[in-house]
Amino acid sequence: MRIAVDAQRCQGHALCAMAAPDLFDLSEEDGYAVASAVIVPADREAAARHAEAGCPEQAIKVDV
Amino acid sequence: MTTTEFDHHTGEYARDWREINSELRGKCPVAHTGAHGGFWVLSKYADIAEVARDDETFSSYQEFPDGSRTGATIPVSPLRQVPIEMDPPEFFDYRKLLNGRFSPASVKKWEPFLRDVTTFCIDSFIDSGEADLVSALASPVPAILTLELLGLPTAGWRTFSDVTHALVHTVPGSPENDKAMLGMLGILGQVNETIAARRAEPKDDLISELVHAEVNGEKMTDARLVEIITLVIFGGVDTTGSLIGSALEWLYHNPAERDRLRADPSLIPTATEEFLRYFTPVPGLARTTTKECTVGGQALAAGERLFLSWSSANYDEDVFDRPDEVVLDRHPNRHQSFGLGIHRCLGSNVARLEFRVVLEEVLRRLPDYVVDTGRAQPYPTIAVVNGWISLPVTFTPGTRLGSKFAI
Repeated sequence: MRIAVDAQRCQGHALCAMAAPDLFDLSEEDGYAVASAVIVPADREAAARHAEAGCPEQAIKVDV
Repeated sequence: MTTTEFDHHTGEYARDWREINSELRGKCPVAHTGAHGGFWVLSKYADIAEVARDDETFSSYQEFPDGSRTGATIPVSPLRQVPIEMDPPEFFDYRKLLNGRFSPASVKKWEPFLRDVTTFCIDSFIDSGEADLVSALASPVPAILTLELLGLPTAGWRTFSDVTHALVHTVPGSPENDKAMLGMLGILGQVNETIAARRAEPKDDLISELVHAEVNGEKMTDARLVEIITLVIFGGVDTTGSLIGSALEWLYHNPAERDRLRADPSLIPTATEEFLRYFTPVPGLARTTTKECTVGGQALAAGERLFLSWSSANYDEDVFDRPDEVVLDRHPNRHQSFGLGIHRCLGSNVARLEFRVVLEEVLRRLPDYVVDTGRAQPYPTIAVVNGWISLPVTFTPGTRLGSKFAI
């Protein structure tokens, strides 16, 4: 599974990092999110989908 | 139906906002009201999200040739707040000055200070067995942090806390509001003095950083600095205080849920998002159309005012399962309480931290608090912030722990 945060849509709500802290990094500089790795470990796929569903800006995309 | 009597400044709305919002969503999701010169109320999640993400069509600040202007509230506030009342591209120049100090990484560093201030506040009443949790805790904690963060003297915390609280819950034109406004002018006078002092000798605080920052290669005027600091003050104090008050009142009425949070404080971050959704401390903000457009099937002219009802969106059945229930572990929870789009609440990470620390300490130190429901007073109007004037409680007295923060 691949994961990406759309930088144009992310507004720094920070809920993804709350749902899956190992999958997202919040910039120290401005708080906006980036995926910490493009490929999601198999045992974290549910967490990635969880984060995708919870993003208020719908900035997270996962695809298999 | 496209017209309504909607007015978010009425006592009726303060009492029945959930029902009024629900009726609007069901019958007229884009409704026009004649109140305050006329505006449109948006009540569906999807319509509000679309508007909040389109800053080109829906402006947060407009000036007109006759000198009048619009901003993020209806009616417009006499004190402009920047950059929430500003559009791109200018908006980004200011927002980026502020993002660093409010990022999750920066905010985390405030936790020991916040814990200490919370201890200081609880110590002031813990041995008496009674307190007003608004004036003694929910108001002062965010107020003291805001002062410290800005670089204003914390010795004045009591006045600062009382004034910001009173400004929000008193009726404009009343003697109480005039008194609070005078107090706020005094605080802004202090802000001006601090600006001058930090210009001469910077410290490690937000005012110093702003005073020495450049926007497009130029230092900001004092007037612009005050507009930014005003946003930090109004955004930082009574909003979080209101969320704390509402949640503490609700937890008293729902003892099983209170016990659940006390037994498992790791649930508090998720519960925080649910309290944010359920109580929506800032019920809505405004935009102005810059051109002809269509929202939710309704054609709108240029120059129309729109009220984005975050509190209605947060109960939209199309997005939230069982919206009328508090589900402490709700997920997903894409609530709009911090807004959506580029104006997402700058202080959201501070608010979450303050809320968590205060709730943890209350559950730990006065776990059996009983709200005096006869004397607890909600805000009579909730147009700007929805919270509590006072929340008197009694509890089994405890012992003081001592704090570094002391005035």
